[in-house]
Amino acid sequence: MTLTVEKIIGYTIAIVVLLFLVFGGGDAFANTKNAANKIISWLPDLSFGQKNLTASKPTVPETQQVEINKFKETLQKLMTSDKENCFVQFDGFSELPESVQLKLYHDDAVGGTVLTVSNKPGESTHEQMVSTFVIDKMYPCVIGGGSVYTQGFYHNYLDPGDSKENNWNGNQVFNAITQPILFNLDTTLVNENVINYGAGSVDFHGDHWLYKPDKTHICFFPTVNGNWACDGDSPEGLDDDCLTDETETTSLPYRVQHDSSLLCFGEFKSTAKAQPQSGQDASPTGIKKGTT
Amino acid sequence: MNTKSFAMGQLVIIILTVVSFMLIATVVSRAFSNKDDAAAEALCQESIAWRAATVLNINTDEKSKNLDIDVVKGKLKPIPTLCKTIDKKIDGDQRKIKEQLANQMARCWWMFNEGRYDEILHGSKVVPALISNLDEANNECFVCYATIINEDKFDDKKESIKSEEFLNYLATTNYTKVPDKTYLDYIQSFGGPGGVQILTNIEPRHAYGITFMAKNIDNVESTWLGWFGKTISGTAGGAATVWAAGTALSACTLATAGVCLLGVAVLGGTTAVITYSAASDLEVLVNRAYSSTERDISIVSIDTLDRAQAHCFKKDIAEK
Repeated sequence: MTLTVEKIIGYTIAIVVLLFLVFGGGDAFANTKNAANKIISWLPDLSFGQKNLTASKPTVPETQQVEINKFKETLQKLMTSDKENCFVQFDGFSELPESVQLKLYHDDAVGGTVLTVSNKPGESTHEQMVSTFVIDKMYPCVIGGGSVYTQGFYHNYLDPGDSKENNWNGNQVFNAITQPILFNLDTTLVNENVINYGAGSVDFHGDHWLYKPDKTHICFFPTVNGNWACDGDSPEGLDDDCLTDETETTSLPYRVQHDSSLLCFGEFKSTAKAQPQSGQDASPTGIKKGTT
Repeated sequence: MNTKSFAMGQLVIIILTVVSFMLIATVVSRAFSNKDDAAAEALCQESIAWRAATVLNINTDEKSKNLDIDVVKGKLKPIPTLCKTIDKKIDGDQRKIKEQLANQMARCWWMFNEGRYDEILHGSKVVPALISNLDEANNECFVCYATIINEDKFDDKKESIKSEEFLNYLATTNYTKVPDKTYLDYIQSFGGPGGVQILTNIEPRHAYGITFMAKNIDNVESTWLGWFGKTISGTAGGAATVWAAGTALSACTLATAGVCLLGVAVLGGTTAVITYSAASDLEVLVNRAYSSTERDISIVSIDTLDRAQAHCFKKDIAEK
């Protein structure tokens, strides 16, 4: 074996290192290891290839899916019903997840109203569509978007006696909406579902009720926080007592409870015991047929 | 032999030969043109795949982070993106137009590997780690197709295909190349997470750009500098749902991932609302639609060609 300079240097380095490890004290090996680890920690972490992203089909929680299915069935049943100028009470919506949104809009191309359900994946700010379906021939409307509608509905349906006293003679009771209507959760102050029909988010305490004024329209009830009595004073929507208080004689639940002919189908489901106040007529004074 | 009839015969043969040649040339050139487009699509798709596979990551893995401060971080991408904008001319009835545009959107998604990689169009960048999050996100978009609607008018005397209608088409029509998936399903959840933006109605004799926008990398930082950088570079809330009033533009003109942009603009949820009623507001909304600062999913978008080209790469991205 021929000894070259390179081989001599290599062997010399190896022997020196060995001697250092053996005779350098008990901690020499550990110190060497620590020094090496420190050097390694300063080196950059290297890897090849980009992470492969995978997606799953967008969904909504089971609770919301059941409610959406019932909502769809109710709308379809309303449209196939021959009855007009009537109301339907259904289960409504529990508190929507913050990432879920429902949107409703009429599309001439499909000849009906499209309802889309969307959700945001993870922490994303972008939405993905979960599902979409069409309610044939339906046009959406709201009881709101102007005093003429809220006052009109109140005076024509809930308290006709009051209209006589105040010489109310308007007959517009619903607002046909041409732009999409959004339903989602508002977390500004208190978590609650809201409806946005083009003028900002409005409370949606009337989500258990739908109104069918004619063959093609189905209306929703935006609400405002009320003053312990049902009224149509706010242009944004009816006082929430009009849709939730079963004891209020001018409220829709009270009227429907005492006159089931106001329902398009189904039966009234009480969520509280109705106590007619003494001295007051428990029967509704009659419902006028309203127009736009 | 009758000279006159012989000459006539020869003339007929010559005319037939010329006409046949013209017919054959037309068919062959169209075949080659289609072949060129298919080759361009395949080249783009393969270059994206290779680019993603050969990325060298430097100090980007959060799991392997130790307590020491990294000196540098970033990515090196040695393979260029060999994609070019493909020019298309489409015609037919409304259903055919929608089908061709939908196919182009799905093909654009495929070309960019179905959204499996984030910031795939982002260039190589290695910077000092301390300022890496102050560096503005520069995740561009790319125009896959420049498409002209080669029709003077649509049938049924309709002036346009509204964006809601096209969105509904994507959501309800199956994409033939992927079994049991609608176009929207394919883009949203086949591969990486995706979304769709429809930023315009579709009208005859107009040109449109179909673009791809890659998802941004999740950038959750624990250092206060990282938080600061993200705050000043991010927009105030995401444009999850954006609405544009119907008066200045016809009906629903901007849509994102299943939500049509119509009515009022909603920023970051439901608290802040702006109403679009002027061209300046529209510009804000469009800029936000193309914004790369908060793109949580990859997006395939259709917009007017002018706007698409103004915001995204066009032609041969390898020239960049």
